[in-house]
Amino acid sequence: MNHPGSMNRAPSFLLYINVLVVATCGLVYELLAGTLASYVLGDSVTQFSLVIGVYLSALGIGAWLSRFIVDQLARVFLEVELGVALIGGLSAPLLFWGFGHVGAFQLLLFGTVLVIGVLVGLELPLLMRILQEHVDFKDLVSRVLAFDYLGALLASVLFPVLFIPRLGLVRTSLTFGVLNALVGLWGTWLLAPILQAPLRGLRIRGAVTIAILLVAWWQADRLTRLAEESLFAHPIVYARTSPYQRIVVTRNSLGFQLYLNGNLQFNAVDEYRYHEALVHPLFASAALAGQTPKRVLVLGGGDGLAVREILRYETVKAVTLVDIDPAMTGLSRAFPPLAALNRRALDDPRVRVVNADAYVWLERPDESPFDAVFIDFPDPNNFALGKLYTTGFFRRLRGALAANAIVAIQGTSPFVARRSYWCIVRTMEAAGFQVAPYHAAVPSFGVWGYALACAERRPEPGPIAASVVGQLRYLGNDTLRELFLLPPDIGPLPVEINRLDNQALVRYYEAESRPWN
Amino acid sequence: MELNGGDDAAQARQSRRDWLRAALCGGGVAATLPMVAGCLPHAAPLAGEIVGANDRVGHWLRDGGAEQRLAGGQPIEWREVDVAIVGGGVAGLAAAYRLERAGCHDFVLLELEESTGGTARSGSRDGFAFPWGAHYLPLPRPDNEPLVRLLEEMGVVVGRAPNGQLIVDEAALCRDPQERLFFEGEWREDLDPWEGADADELRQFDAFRQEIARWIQWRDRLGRRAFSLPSSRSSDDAEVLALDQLTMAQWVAQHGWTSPRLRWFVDYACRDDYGMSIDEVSAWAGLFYFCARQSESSHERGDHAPVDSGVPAHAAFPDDSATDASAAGVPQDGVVADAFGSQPLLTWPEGNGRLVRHLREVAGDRVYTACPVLRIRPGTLQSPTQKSSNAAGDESSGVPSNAPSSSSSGASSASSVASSSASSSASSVASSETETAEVRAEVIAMSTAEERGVLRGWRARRVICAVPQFVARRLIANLPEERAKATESFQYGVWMVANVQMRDRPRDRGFPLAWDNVDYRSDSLGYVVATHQQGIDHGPTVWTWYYAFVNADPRVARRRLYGLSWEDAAALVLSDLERVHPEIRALATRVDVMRWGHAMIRAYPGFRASEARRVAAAPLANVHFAHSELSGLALFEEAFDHACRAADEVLDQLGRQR
Repeated sequence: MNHPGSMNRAPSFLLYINVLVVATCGLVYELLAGTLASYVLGDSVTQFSLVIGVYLSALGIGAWLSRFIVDQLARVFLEVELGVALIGGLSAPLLFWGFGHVGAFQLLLFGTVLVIGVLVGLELPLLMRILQEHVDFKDLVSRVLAFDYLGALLASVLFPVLFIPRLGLVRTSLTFGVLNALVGLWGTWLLAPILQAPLRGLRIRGAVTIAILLVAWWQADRLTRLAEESLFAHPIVYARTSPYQRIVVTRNSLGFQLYLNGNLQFNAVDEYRYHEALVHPLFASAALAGQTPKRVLVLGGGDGLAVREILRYETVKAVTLVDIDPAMTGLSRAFPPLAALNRRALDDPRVRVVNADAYVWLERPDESPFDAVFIDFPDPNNFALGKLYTTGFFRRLRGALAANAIVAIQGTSPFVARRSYWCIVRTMEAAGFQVAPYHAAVPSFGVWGYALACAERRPEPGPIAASVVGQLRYLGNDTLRELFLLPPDIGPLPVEINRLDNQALVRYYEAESRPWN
Repeated sequence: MELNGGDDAAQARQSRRDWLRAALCGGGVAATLPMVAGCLPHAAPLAGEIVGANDRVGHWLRDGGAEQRLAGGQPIEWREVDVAIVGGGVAGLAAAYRLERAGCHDFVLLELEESTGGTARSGSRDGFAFPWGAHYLPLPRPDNEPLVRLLEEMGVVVGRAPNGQLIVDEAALCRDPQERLFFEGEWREDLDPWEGADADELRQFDAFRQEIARWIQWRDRLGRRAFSLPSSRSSDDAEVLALDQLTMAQWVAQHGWTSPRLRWFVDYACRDDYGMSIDEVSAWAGLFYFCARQSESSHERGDHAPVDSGVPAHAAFPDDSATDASAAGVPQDGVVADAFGSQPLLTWPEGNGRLVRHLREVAGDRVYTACPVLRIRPGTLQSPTQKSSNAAGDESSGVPSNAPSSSSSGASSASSVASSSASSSASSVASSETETAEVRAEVIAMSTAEERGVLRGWRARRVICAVPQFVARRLIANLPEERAKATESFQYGVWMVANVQMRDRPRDRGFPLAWDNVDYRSDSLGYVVATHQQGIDHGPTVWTWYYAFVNADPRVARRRLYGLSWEDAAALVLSDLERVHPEIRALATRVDVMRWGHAMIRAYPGFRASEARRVAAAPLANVHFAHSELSGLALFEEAFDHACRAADEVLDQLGRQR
């Protein structure tokens, strides 16, 4: 019975199924690497092109290496298959992890693609040599290649239609790893006639591989929660829980989106509207009063996008950005699409980044006074954030301001959270500022609220500097004036003042945003 | 530790909890100690020590050390001073402050401990300040002038609104969220155990609130409130004092309230404020807690404004009725104290240590720490009758006259010190020649610091004795019988306070970390987050954990407390915190423990109304008394009030203008 020739037709047909699975899995790993690279690095044409190129050449290397394998073809075939299962299955979680932790991410990316390609490249020649003793060469080539290309079709159809939407990148990767390993384990029975005993070691390795992948599947929540994936409209390309917040970047065909604790911070498609509206009215108002802010403070805004707008003014000599989370400011520097979007603003020699809680930092600011301050905190959805909108906070801020300094603040949506917006405005007034409320339309957010504040006078809209206005995509001088005209449906409402000892704003915001979530 | 051998670990945890209960609530400590010390798991070695309250010197004094030391030698010098203040807790410091502000600068303050502040003391480590005891002060009502003046000096009260309400620096008001309760598996906002309560319990709670509201609005014939801070302004009407004949539990039972949640709520308040359970504390004191902190105007409105009696009203959500701030003309530099409901709390990272620091700065170099007083010998007053009675066989007949008689000490510097200070008292010396001889009181203290064991004496025209009665009765020579007997009525509660240094904060279920955090099931009082008021919401922090030994004879509890090693104490603290924060052992890096053997006066039934309290508060010749315990309430306001009273008595007698 252990004579190779005794293999009947059924097992060899099952071996073609094996070819199908191997081919499908191989292509899925390739697609995963390409998708992931284009998610995190952007420029999908380049990423896919490079990944396909590296993968195909690795297949060639694998095929060429197969000639050095002379003995125990079936055993080597199964070991290679388990290896592909393990490395391919873990590739997406490995690459996600590596993106956050490894400096030379591209090296890791193409190294992984290369290893997978070489192993998959080994498989087909080995399988053909196993089968050649039982099948006519003409039939063999036609069947193996037919199943191989069929597998490729299956993978390329199922990948975007079924797996990525349902499972996400990480679990798709692990799912195919498990499938791959199961087929390998099944092969130890299928090929038992031509495998030399003992088989136990091989089967244990197969079982261990499956176990590792299943544990990883179960633990995948730690990287990207399954529930979280469904919360976001688009696939997650980066996720990290820092001591301060959960940072998630998603991406769709139009660009990418940053979420902090599940709340959208910006969408690359229209963030310029938000940030132009945050930054330029302040400079325009200062210009009207004959001032040119030189020392600028940004509170929050770790994405560097407000700083990008500020740096358009050559009169600005120094920008201090105070953001609590080193993970956020680090991402803005190291995450290529974000660094491209903010034009490496945080690496500009005029910019200094301080990672501190703004409330604590303002108690003893190590540089002051400032001529202009931009407040770009997340919306007040918890008490730790709520304190950053209190009279206590704004009074501290006043201690860091030069005479006639202007403050610009983002104040959530006056349409969704009308009381919250006016609570911020009134709280700044209670802290001794004269406040000019204004708004802008940001499609990803809807109507968005801002305010200019100055202790000495009420800021008025002025003309945008000639050197800057031509660079802007949203604001012009006419548009800017109109931002200060508030329609009645977002007009003032009576509100309480937000103080450290009542945190009225957090309670307003929670009540107002709840119906929209 | 938790990962290997799940059942064993769970059992060990369980037994630790049982032990906690047994150790603190009256079980056999000795038998279980070795076990606990052995099964204390830590992610990293836990540091810490037992700190503070110098029980060694205290016990040495108790055991006759003073007599031996005084028999073995004389002070190396005698100095003259107008006022000697004995004790540097809040009462002593506040008396010094009152004297200083009244222009009486010739005083000394003598304190046993190395730092002043008593139970309002604070500490700091790694840049974080934290309290060791008292940690907040309800904003005084505007009519508590002396205390408001102190807060104005400190920049805490920054002005007054047109309606007379105080405007307060926002940084000193307890930051929201103030309190949370771990109840039924998760944290909830406020100390609010009413989730899932049935209609009957809610009805009882409502009736309780209404009864509190009734007492808040109650006035006697003279228009005094039943309960007012300071308590010297409270009514002494029989109807009010009758409450002092019951326990709080009896008062609750009288109303037919049986709700376990209501009982917990009242019991927690009693334990937190008085270190006594609902079954121990007098109903007068219990109601004082709920009623005395109300804003003056809350009753005057006469409408149905919710009377927040410290009782958790559901989170007051700002609604449409809120006034437009700009229209209301909110002042620019502070917060107008809420005109309705209970007075807001003032707090600082180091708790009432901030108040202590200010008072101490005012007293300046006239404060001697590590300088326990061994003996107070009262002198005689200036009146002829006093003189004749004293001239006979008074105990202080051996006391030398006014003239400095430091020759026995042989210290030549002493006389020059004395003569320099004598100028301030020259008038009294001159008058004593013509009229009657005022005999100064003598205060002898011993240094426990660098000049270890050296005795110094002060001859003072007046003494303000600002130590508790159990100490005073050992210090004052020839204490009259009646007073000695009165001191026996003063009982003291036993507390343990721990400061837990944390490398990070635990993850929580439900409402986020607040200033005060309480576990419904625990016998402890929970913990206060020392970094909360600084606005530090992430990363390392310090938690101050409080435990009052209740439902036990204080003497037994005291023995139990002093029997605890640091390992035992740290195990107790972490076992308690572990119930609500399972990962506490991985986060705590250090546990320092303060043992308060005599933490606060016990407000047991009958004490407030007792004659003993009045006897102890009355002056003894030229010795005056100041301490919160003289009110039967261990509150800053009471210590401050008695200090002002005693200082004013002294100032009156010294003929100075206040």
